[in-house]
Order: sequence, then structure tokens, then C-alpha cells
Amino acid sequence: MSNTIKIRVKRYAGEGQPTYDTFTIHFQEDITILDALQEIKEKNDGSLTFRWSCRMGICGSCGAMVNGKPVLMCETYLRDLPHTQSENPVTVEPLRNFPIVKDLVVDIDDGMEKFRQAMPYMDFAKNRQNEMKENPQTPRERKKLEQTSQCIKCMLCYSACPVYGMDKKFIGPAAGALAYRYQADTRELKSEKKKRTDSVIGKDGVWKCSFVGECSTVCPKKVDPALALQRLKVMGAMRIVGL
Amino acid sequence: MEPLPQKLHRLWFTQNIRYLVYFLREFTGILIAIWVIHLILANFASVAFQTRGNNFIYPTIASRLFHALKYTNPIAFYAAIFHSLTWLYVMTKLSPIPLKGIWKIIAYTTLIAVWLVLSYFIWKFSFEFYARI
Repeated sequence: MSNTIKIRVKRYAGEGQPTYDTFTIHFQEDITILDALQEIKEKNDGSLTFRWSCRMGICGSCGAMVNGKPVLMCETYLRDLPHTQSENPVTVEPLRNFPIVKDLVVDIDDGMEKFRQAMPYMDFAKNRQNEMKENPQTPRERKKLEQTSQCIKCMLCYSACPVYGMDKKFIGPAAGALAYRYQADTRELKSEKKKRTDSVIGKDGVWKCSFVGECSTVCPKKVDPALALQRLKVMGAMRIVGL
Repeated sequence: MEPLPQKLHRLWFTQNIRYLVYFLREFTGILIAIWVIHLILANFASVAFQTRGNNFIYPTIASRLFHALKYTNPIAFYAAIFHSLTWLYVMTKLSPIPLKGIWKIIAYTTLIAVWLVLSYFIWKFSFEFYARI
């Protein structure tokens, strides 16, 4: 049994077409793809470029395609991949549906801009009748938005969404989940919720979602953006009929 | 240095089984829609033939459309089954109460049972309706 593993990485230097470089590193049971890339960067090729930060699945920086699936590299262990300890390399590519800047770094600005459409803020001043009044929320009310509030904006869902792949104007899964997080918040006035509903049910809004469901499958935080988008559709339908 | 755009692969739906099921789910909807249009046209041609008497165009159109139905009927039937089963499975994901494990299976089988019962009554009603007219 070989103690080495091959990592095949997609490279792009800013011009021409992307190529693939294959690196061989020492296999260890407890190392992740991110650890492997850092070892490659240190020992083999210092020009290898990729994003990373927390190394513990909370910042969302290290998203990439590993064997065709969008994952967080810091949470993906080499031992769990089917090509481990064989001659077939583990393939690491940049996230799909985003322009490639360099190697594994993609331009996620477009995805981030979609969050504006979700209106991810609440105007607490309108909830207060007196200055310094609290906005209490029961644990049960808090639980309604708990799932969608876990989103770390890693953009794996945008990478998995074929609708976004075909039409970059689509609001997308993460922005939909974010919008639902605020719609589900009981501390906000209904008038503000109506504005947000109008914002997300527009021309390139939630109606473009055709429930592929892959966004929920790849989400590392189990946010279920597909469900959030369908719930926003229900809110949008009720808004259209005046409810 | 310009970022390199990445376009969706032409055969994106072959990349994993979930994409393929989704693609087939949507595609079977198209097959059902084509069958419905065919059925409407066949009925229209038949009614036109009956009201216009021995017009030589309409018997030919009506008979050809109805003849073709025997080929499209089984295609539409299996398309409708696949489409319905996959959409009923998707409906279990939309439950207001999170369903896991055995409860998801129970919900799915319940939806299938409701669908079968409704389909029976619709078929029975339409059969009796056509028998009377």
C-alpha cells in the first residue's frame, strides 16, 4: 500500500487557458485537502494560490471543487476520498460558476452583491415606542431563524446551483436563505418584511428557483437554502394576493 | 489580468445522480405537456369532423391524431409516474415540520397513497363524463 497520494490541481495564471498540475505528497490519515495544498505550496510550488483562513469550517474562505463536488477544503479529509491510496489523483478545481482569478481563487463579488437584494438588516428604531426599549424574542421564535442564520457565505451553494450557472442574475440560494432569516425574525415590523418580500420576488428573484436541491446537499452548515427559497415563494404568493 | 469566466457545462446534468433526476423530472413534464396538446388536438379534430359532416380533411386528421395516441399514451403514462413520484418526494422536503428518517418515508408513502386515490376518482369521473356525452 502506497504512502503517497496524488493531488491534481487546476492552475490558471491570468492568461491563456487553465492547465492541471499533479503533485505527489505523503499520505496521512488526519490531513485535509487544505493541509495538502499548504504542504504543496511550502515544498513543491510556492505560486499555488488558494484562499483559506480559519481552518475549522467557520469562515467559508476555502471553498473549492474536490472530485467534482463543492466542499470546504478544511473539512474534507483525504482518507474520506475514493481516490485515496490509488493511482487516481484527487482533483481540486476552483468553485464553478464564478470567474477564476488565479488557480483556486475565484471572483465571488457577484454572489456577494446578491445579498443586498435580501435586505439583510432590521430597523430596530421602528420597533421601539420608547427609547431603549427591548425587542424580546422567545427561544421558540429564535429557533425559527436558527437554521438559516448559520450561513457562512462560503458560496458552495452558488457553485452547485445550475440555475445560477445558466443565469447570473438569479438571486441564488445563499441570498434567499439570508432573506428568509430576516423574514422569519419576529422582531421586525410587518411593513419592513413586505419591502423585503417585494425585493426578492422580483424579476430575477426566487421564482427562478426550480428546486434542484443541490444547494442544500452541498451546504456545510445544513442551512437548507432550497427550503428557504420555497418558503419565500409562499410569502411572495401571499403578497401578490394581498395577504 | 482578467478573471476567466466559467460557463455551465453543456452536460451539467450528468455530473451527479441528483442533477440527472432533476433533469428527468423536468423533462417528463415536457412529455406530459406534449401529450396533453396532442390529446386536445385529437379531440378538437374529432369534434370538428362530427359537426362538419363528411369533410375529407377532418376524418383524416382526427384518425391520424387518435392513431398516434396509442404510441404517446404509454410514453406519457410513464413520464407522468416518474414526474409525480419525484415531485411527491420533493414535497416531503417542504414540510413545515422537519421530517427525518422513518417519518420522511411515512410522509412520502402517504402522499403517494393520496395521489393514487385522487387519480382513481379523477379517472372514474372523467370516464363517466365521457360515457355520458
